[in-house]
Amino acid sequence: MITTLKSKWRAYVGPTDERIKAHENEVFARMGKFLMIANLCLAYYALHLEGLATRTNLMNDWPRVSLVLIPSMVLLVYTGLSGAWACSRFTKAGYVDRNRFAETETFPRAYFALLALLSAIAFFALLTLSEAAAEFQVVGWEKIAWADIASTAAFLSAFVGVMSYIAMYLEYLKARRSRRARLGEMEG
Amino acid sequence: MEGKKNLRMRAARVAKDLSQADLARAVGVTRQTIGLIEAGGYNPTLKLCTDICKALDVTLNDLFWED
Repeated sequence: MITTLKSKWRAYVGPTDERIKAHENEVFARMGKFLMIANLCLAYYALHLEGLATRTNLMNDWPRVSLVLIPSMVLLVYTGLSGAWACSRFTKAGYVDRNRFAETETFPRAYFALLALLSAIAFFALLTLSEAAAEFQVVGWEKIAWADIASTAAFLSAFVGVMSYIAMYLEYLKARRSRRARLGEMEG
Repeated sequence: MEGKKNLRMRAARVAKDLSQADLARAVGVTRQTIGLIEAGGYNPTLKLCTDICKALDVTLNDLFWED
């Protein structure tokens, strides 16, 4: 079943272009280095924050969970920013993907709609599972508010799906502009 | 990072009556990659070079060796 789906997907998106894959690897390698350094700094910051809170008895009026939340928010924000940076490097080079749609001259509506749908599903799963895992740790399995979690996740996922599609369209325009400029330079 | 135009590859492709898109499909890359190799704007891997040679029924020397 999964093999059939994978082969169907491969037939649909076509082979991966080695030139684009090489560029993608370069971008992700730089992003990986940045994330590693930023993670290290954040980990040290969290350690010092906790150490200081313990030494100054701050733990009494500043619950431990707050100390975890601050680094978590920073982690979330800079991971998002790193992803945005990687996307912008990719589109600046003229690509929107690494398969047959990578340098398309016409906007692949069905393909991007499918990607937006898959993003929404993945986001739904991530939100639901992470929230359920957190509730499980705090209130136990029986008290997990599945309906509330699912409805919030569904609303946010639908929003993410629509925004992804719009973002992909804007990235497609940017990539096409960069590509045409580059090809123009080569021909000129 | 622009290199020398690969006119021999272009000639071999045209002799085989293939468009850039046909050759790209045959070797599993995008049409732009073939265009860039011919224009000297991309240095392909050895694997892609051999795939192109096989698709065009020529040798590596015919297309990529510089004297």
